[in-house]
Amino acid sequence: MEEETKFLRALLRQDWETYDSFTEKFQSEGKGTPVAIIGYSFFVAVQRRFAENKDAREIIRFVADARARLLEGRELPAKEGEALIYAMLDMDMPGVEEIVEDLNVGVMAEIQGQLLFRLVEDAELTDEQLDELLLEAEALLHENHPVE
Amino acid sequence: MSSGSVGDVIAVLRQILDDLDGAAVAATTAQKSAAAGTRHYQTATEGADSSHATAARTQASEAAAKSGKIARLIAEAAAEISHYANHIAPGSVPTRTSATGGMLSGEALAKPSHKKGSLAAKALGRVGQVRSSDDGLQHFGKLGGILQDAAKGSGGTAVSKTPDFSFQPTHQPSASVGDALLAALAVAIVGAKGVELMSRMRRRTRNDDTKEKG
Repeated sequence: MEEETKFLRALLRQDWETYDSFTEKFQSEGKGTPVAIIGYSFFVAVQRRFAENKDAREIIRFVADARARLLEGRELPAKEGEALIYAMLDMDMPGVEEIVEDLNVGVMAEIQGQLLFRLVEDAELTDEQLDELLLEAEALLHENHPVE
Repeated sequence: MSSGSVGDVIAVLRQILDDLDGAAVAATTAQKSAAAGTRHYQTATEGADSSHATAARTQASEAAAKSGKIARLIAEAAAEISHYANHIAPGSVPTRTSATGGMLSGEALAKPSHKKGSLAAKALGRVGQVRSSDDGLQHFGKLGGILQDAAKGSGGTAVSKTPDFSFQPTHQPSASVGDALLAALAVAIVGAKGVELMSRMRRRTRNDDTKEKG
């Protein structure tokens, strides 16, 4: 597992000691937010949760629930959160493409990260299952964007 | 005028959500039936140069589109009500996805992939190309802060598995439902502001601590 993936893992598991240690390391190395692994992990988690039904109603409720469970629900904008899930599922809903295109990759990662946390919590993944999800995301990332 | 508590208001909102659920299911079923009907009409009337056949195809297609739109609008209405209920009393509207909340097992799921040119491919293409954003870890730090704050707010875990349905009424017992709604909305707004202010203060404290350490 790559360092970026381990960093994300620490966040999702709320292992703040490891998270702080990686923060320090990444900052000293001048590395930024690992948007790629966040995006691909979000993609895999969204597929697992919603791909079978692609029910807009369920997605809207999921985002509303995620917002309600975070103290700063307003950091998780509903419209953008829903649009990102629709996009991952290729659901042709009005305005989705424009909303997603208007997000810069950092803000996109912030929203995806919060939703990913919720998806992982809802699924009650064991450590092994979470590792499996993250490794699958890592493999997809490499497959689609091989490092030259 | 009838009197009632905020709890009564939430109960009414939940009932409305249940009703909307039923309506959305009906609209979705209608959309699927109409879409299937369109395909059957197309198969049955393929090559037919008849105004009746054309009208049947057009109308079935229109019915599918409109019932799909109705389903979407109902879902949006339900989401707004859900947001409102949770704004008045956070966590008061439970997730309706508990039955399907778990992720599918690996066996039940084909390996996820995205088609070239699809919405998913475009979004993933952008992040895949840059790998990491050039932000000095700002966004990831913010993400960590959000989850840490949520953990502190709920006593150690970022979110509770079971939504907490209890909340303090924010009105006098004799207040009407309308009064309760207004009072709850006012508190919700002030509360949201308060949360934002607290969050800013926490972030500032954290930053100050970091600076001192550095």
